[in-house]
Formats: sequence, structure tokens, C-alpha cells
Amino acid sequence: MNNARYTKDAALIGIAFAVIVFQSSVVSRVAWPLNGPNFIFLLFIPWVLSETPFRAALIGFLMGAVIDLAPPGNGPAGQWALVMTLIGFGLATYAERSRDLVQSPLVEVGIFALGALALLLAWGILGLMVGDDRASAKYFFQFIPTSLLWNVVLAPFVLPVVRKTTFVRRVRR
Amino acid sequence: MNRDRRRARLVLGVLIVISLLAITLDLRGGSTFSGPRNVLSGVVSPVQRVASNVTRPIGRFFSDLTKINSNREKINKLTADNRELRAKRVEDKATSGKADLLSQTLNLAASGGYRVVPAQIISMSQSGFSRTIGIDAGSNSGIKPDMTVIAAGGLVGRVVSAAANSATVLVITDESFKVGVRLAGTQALGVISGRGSGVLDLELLDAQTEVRIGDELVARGSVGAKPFVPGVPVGRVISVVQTPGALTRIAVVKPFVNLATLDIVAVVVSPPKTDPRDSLLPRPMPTPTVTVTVTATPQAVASPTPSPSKS
Repeated sequence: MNNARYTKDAALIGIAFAVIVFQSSVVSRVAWPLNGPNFIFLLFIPWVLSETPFRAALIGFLMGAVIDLAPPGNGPAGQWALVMTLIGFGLATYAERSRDLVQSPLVEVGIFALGALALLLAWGILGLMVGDDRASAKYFFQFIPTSLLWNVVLAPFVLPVVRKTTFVRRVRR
Repeated sequence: MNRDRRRARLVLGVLIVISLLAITLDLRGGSTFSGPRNVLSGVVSPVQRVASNVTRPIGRFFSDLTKINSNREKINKLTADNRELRAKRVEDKATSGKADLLSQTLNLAASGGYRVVPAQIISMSQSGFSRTIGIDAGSNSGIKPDMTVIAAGGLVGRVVSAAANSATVLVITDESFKVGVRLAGTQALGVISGRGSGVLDLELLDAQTEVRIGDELVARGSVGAKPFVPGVPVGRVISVVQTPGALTRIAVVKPFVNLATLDIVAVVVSPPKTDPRDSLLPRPMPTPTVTVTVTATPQAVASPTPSPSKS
């Protein structure tokens, strides 16, 4: 039982790493109209929704740290780590309290969109606080809406897959 | 249950503190995180390299999907062209294209007297708004932070960090990017800053300077040639903003390098011995043709006309 769980965790960490590399070396290189989707969010949000807050915070921190430190990351180390820890914890806490989360696909996509918005906004606000030039008006008013649009369009196809992969732990009690 | 919650809060607090500490340390400068960054770079870069090579056709496919209409016309024209070319050329097209790009880049470097290390782009930044690229050469090839990066045409950016076999380049269009430039010809000084889109902002330091659409800019070069070596072509003015009464003049500049199709770049590892001035601009400066009409007027002796040619 425990062994299966560790195997699954290892597999998920591998997948998360692969998705981060995939995002930077493939997705970012395609000339998407309107910025394009973020597969890191598409994995991260449904994943933490099926975890305990404790594990969600850890997952957020680790994924964020890899994004911060892996090339070609250029922001201050810890920026994504902080944002993803907080939002991961928040989402997992919310999911724990409302058990009927995946009752309707519409609700699921809605929560995903809110999660993605929270991540993008938190990154931008933190960027403003530490004086990062990239957290500009263009980021808030152009990048965030278009990025959300892409993610929401892809969400109905990707979320069920991620949910099925991480679902086992949802039936913890 | 309650214990779980307490444990979760505790770990949340600890992680927040670690993140904040990391941000603060990293923002203070210094190389606190170059260790972990280099280790991760060593792990990630080879994977990125492979992923980038394997998936390039897929990426191109999606890029093409986004402009199907304009491509259809192009396809018809290209099919005709292609038939002709295929008869003439047996060479592998992809390879020779890449070689062309490389040789253009190297030509620019050679005519400027820069010593360069060529590199291929293997990744671009996670988010569309921050413009950094990863390249497949690093400190093993002599690349260090604050080196100029060029491509066929002109300036691409500067190196911000270098691992053993990969490096990160901040691209000229990034909103935090700034470079001092000279207007070719008039030598007026200005500062270029990226604005997160395809064009750049030019601010001329002297409001009296005449600037026109089509004027070309070259990098002024920094003290000790770091981060910018002098003479690298930067871009061409495409519009001038009228700012009556302002202390500086503002213009919009299109970079010479097409950043959307960038594939091969070169990192300048040692600056030229002499400033190449304007000699690297894409087309040769029109050589001024001096036409002197000498009319013999024996009466006019008040002002001697300077003879432009020493025979």
C-alpha cells in the first residue's frame, strides 16, 4: 500500500519535472497567438486540489523552486516558490472543505481558472513588491487575460486526465 | 486531524520564510544561488536540448497553424520555387540554411573584429512576457555573464548567467533591458529600452538632435566592453514621437534581428581592438559623392574655395 504510494509520488514528481522542461523548451517556443497555454498550471492546480494542504504546500514549493532555478529562469530565486506554496496550500485547504469539488465539470474548470488567476496575480503583485520590471501594466492587463483564456480552453481536456492520475488520494477519508 | 492541520500550517510557514529569504538574498545580488542554478542547468539543459531538437517539427506545425491563410499563398509560390530550386540544388536545404545563418553571424563578428562563440538556442522563457533564452554553450566555451550576444543582423542581448554547458541570455526586447546607442552618422547618443513587444523605445539624450524614420543605431559600447561591445548594429527607427518641450527625444525602433525566428546566435567573448563605428550596419553607408563645380571667376577672391581633393 505504502509502496504503491511512493511509486506514485515519484512518478508524479517525474511528470512535474518533465512538464516544466516541456513548457520552456517546447510550448514557449511556439508562436502562439495571445501568449499560449501554461501546462505547468494545468498540472499543478488539479494536482494540489487532490492533496492535503501539507503536501500541496510542499509540492508548490518544489515545483516553484525548480521553475525559479532551472534555465532560462531569470527572476529572483524563490518568487515562484513562494507564490506556488501559498496558492497550493490555499487550493488544497479549499478542496478539503468542499468534498463535492469534481461533481460538475463546469465547477472544476471554474476553480481551475480562479487558481490560475490567483497564481498569475500573486506572481505579479510579488513582482511589484520586489521591483521586478516584468510585472508591468502589460503583464496585468494583457498577459494575464490572454494566458487565462488559453488555459481555460485547454482545461476541460487536461483536467480529467490529471484528476484520474492523482485521484487515489482523494478517497483518503 | 487537528495534528495534520497544525503540521500543514507549520510547513507552510517554514516554506514561506525560506522563499522570502531566497528572494531577499537573490535580489541583493551576489552568487548565492549560482550553485543550485548551475546544478539544475546541468540536469535540465541536456533534456531541453533533446526536447528542443525532437519537438522542433511539432512546434513549427503549431506555429504554422496560427497563420494558415497567409501561408496558403506562400505555399503556392514556394511550390513553384521549390521545383526550380530542387533541380538546381542537391544540397540539403535545412543544413545549408543553418550554415548561411551561422556564416552571416560570423561575418558580422569578423568584420567587427569580435571573437565569438556560436551557439544554438535550446529554450525560451517560461512566460511570454519575460524574454530570456537558453543557449547550448556555457562557461566551458568561455562564456561569462555580461557578454554581448549577436546574431545575423545585429544585437540579440546579453548573457545574464552561464553554467558549464549552457547560458541564459536576456533578450533586447525584455522590459528590463537597456543599452546605450549611437545614431549612425550623426553620432548622437541615446538609450534603447525593451518594452516587452517586438519594438524598442529609443530615448535621445539631446532634445535638439535630428532623428528621422530610417535612421540606424549601433551599440555605443560599455566601459571595458561589458556588457556591450561597441559597434553592434541594433535597429532602425520606424517612428518618431513628437514631444514638444521635453528634455529628451523619443522614437520607436525595430531591431535588425528577427527575434521570432532566431535559431543561431554568437556570444562575443572578446571585444574588438578598435571601435568599428558604423561599419557593421546591414547595408553600406551611401558614399557621399562630392560634386564640385568650379567656375573660374577671377574677380571673386574674397573667399578661397577649399579644394576637396588632394591630387
